[in-house]
Amino acid sequence: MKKKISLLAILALCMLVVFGCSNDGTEKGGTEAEETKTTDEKVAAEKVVDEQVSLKMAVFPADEEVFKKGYEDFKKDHPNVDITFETFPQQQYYEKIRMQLSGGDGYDLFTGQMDNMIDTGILAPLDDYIKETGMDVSGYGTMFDTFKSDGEVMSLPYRKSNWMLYYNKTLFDEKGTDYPSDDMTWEQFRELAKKMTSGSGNDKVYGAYLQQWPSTWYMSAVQKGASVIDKDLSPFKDALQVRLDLENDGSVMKWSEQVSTGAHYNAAFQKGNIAMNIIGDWHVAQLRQGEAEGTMKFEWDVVPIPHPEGVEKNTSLALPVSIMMNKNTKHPKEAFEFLQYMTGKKGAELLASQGYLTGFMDEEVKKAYLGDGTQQPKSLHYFLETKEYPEYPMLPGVKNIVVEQIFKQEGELALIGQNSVDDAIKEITKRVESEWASKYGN
Amino acid sequence: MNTVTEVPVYIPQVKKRKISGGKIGKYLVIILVSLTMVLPFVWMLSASLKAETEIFGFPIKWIPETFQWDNYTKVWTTVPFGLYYLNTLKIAVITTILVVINSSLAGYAFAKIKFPERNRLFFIYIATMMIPYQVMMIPQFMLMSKLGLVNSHWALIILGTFSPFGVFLFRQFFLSIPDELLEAARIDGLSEFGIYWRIVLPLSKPAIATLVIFSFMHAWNDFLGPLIYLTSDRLYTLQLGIQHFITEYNTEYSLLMAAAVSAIVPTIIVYFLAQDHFIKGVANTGIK
Amino acid sequence: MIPSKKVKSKTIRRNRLIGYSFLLPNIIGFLLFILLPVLASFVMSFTSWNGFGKIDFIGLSNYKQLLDDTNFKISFVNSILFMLISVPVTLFISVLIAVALNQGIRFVKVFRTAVFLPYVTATIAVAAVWQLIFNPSLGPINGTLLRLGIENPPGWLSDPSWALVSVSIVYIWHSIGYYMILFLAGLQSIPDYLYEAADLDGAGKVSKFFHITLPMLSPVLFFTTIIGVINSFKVFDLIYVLTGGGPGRSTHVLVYDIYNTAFKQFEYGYASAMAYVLFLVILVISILQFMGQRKWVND
Repeated sequence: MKKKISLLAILALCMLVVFGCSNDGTEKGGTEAEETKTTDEKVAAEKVVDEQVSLKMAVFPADEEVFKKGYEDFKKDHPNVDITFETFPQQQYYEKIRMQLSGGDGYDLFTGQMDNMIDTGILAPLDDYIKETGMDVSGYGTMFDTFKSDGEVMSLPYRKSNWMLYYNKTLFDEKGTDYPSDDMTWEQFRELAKKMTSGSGNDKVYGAYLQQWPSTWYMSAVQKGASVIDKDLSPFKDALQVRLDLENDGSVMKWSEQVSTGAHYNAAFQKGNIAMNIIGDWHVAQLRQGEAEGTMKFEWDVVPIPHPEGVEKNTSLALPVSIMMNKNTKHPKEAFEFLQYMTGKKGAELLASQGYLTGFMDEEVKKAYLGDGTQQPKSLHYFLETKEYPEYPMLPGVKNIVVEQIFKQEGELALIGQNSVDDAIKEITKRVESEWASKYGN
Repeated sequence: MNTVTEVPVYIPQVKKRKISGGKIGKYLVIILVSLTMVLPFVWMLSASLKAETEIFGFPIKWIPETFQWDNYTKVWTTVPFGLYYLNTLKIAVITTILVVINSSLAGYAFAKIKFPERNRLFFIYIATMMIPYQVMMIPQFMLMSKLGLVNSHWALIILGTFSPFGVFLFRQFFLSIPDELLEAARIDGLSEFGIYWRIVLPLSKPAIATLVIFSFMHAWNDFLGPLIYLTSDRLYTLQLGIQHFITEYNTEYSLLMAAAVSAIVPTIIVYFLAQDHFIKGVANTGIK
Repeated sequence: MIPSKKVKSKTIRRNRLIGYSFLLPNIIGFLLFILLPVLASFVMSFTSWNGFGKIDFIGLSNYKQLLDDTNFKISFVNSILFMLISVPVTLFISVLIAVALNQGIRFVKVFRTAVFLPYVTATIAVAAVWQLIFNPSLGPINGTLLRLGIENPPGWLSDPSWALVSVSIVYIWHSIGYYMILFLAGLQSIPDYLYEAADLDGAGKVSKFFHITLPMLSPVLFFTTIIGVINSFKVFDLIYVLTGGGPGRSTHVLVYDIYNTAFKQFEYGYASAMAYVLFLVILVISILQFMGQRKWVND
């Protein structure tokens, strides 16, 4: 018996040593060791300029194509840099990259919302690189400051992810209805959606489509200036009611049906039986790709999303997506060069020409965004004048994943008629508050 | 509970009796249950060969109007199923070989070598079957990443190699091999390993067959393991690939069904080839 | 023949050496991949680690927090409910089929295959099929129900009050075959002379079932109950693919909550505490069953 206990004790000790040591490595020695290492490597990298370097980068599934395009262009000037891209289904994205990164290596670069990653302590501060390369950051405008943590820049944005209303022109023409206006209240949107709805079974035409994400129903509350972690969430009641009304009118696919069939905005809209689709700016690129592949057989355009009564038109939500660099990367110089390329002016011009609203914006990028007018959609210009509210407040850690889960779970119960709107919002308020009370000593 | 090591295959003799009401009832129950069990497969197979618009038609058409073999071509071209098959096969085969060697070695020690703490050790080993995987999940993952094995097939292979189930199976089987046989070999001067390798293993083909099937099936159908350990698309197993496919092409039901059929066919074939071993394996390990 | 002490201890030493060398790979694997993780996660359950950076010990806070974590409570209740629905039904149906198959029926092999087939197929693929079958507006189940004149058929997976039941149905369908085989094996080991003796006493079919079959089957019944309970707590794949814990939190079970806490919210410490509670629950239920076995099971 004694032997067994001592055996256990030894094992427990071993384990503490294993985990403890690795811990020391990243924490205590962390900052100093990192810095000496990076400068060392900088020197090394400068000495051997044309050394073959391979980098690994994780990107959002919707952006994989454009990053590959960007890399092709980048490679012309950097033939020695080899980058492989990896992507995962959106819902598993952060869990996959965090798991990889916690193993010590993983990716040199990754895209995402910075606040989901900042708590890992694995992001490399970019100030030195920005200074050294003399990178032009004027194009980020005031947004630049939101990517600082403790005074240091931790990532740079490549797209803003504003919301837009996409509509199927062909369907509107067939019905002889006027196209959606750029100044529509949610109430008017509801009427229009109702008007555009018809048929059933295989001939069903939906007036609108709202992806089964909580942000598609709560956006009207955020447009009024509310935030998902407010103590008073009453503006979200109206927001939830809007979606519920749309469902009751039959003009959007029911939440329950979307969930049970795993519906997806891109495939749904491209099918051609949806009049209006509210989704982010990246959808432009997806639709253009659909056109290029010849799967889409209708005309389309965009206008700003509807707004609540009393709120200025063209008010939207934004959720900037940025590129972050792993502080443990073996090739910080090359990694930063690609980061700089994609988030800076050149990359912005490329992304903009694909239809992305970019983080970096100046006259030339705007021009690239609008294109020469031959490509759909015609009305992109609206989005250069949008007033935005952040979709989420910046919260360190995976807090907004938790908040989103709460909004999803409770909102869902109201949408399938299991709970009243009032009770759902009450429950959300309670849960959001308890998350904060326990985690932030509030 | 006594130890039953070898159980006959369960096909009772059919005795001729006159047909009674009870008998008809019995057949009815069995036929009903069997139908319920099989119908989802039939539905899946028929949906996988239908045109998209035909899938949900009513009344259910079990035989598609025109067979859309095209669905399968489409699935196999949009998704690298060939690669997924190879990955899964690689993991399943290597795991299976290692688990058989590993488990039979341990089973031999537990059944045929007499040392004082052997039964206690065996009990501890078997008791670990009760620990839920979630308890070990996180540290195992950390350990694998320290060993640099995350995002490679080896993490899955290594974890699959240690199977209390396999050890148990072999121990039970070895117990049924008479000690006299081993004693004779010892007198002939064969080493312990020689006995295990040349005498005991060749006698254990049924146990090996059972474990091969189970380990293969388990590796093939595993989902949580690949979900945690594999990140790169090129390493995906079939189950992970299907899941990926579900999230991306979820609106094309006929393709989804074609993918599902493609994923389950191998294990069904394995089952039909070796069903007696399968049944015996379940029965042998089930009854202690 | 009594071997001398010296010879005996020498044999023991030799056997021990051989025994351990046969066990070596397994012992290494066991220590490294089972024991070490089990202990590590126990230690981890007293920390607030997120997988990166330094490890802070926070004592019993994680366990205390579990007490007023509604998410955890809901998952706990769901797991218990899931077990209470699926285990008895699975066992009942599989005993029924096993007994029927054991009584001289034709085409046993065909029926046995039909019942066992779901067990060998991957849950992921199978879940994709059931998702379509359960589709509330288009699926074949509700289509049939509507034809039969049932006006408001349940929404199955998309209805919070039916979702757990729906998952149970798929789970039961998937696992009946396994238990049926165990029961068939148990039935086969009941000696014929017991029934013959009962025939001489003029016992009826029902009385034979309750006085011979059931008592003789009790060790198997006991074993399958334990296995069944443990397995029902482990269901992850089905939930992950069929409902993702929804709608609301109606199918949020413990293992799903643990996965979510560990790999979506990255609270490794907290997830470890949850896993240990799950372990404890399984342990307590198993011990209770063992105690029950002493009382009820015929040896």
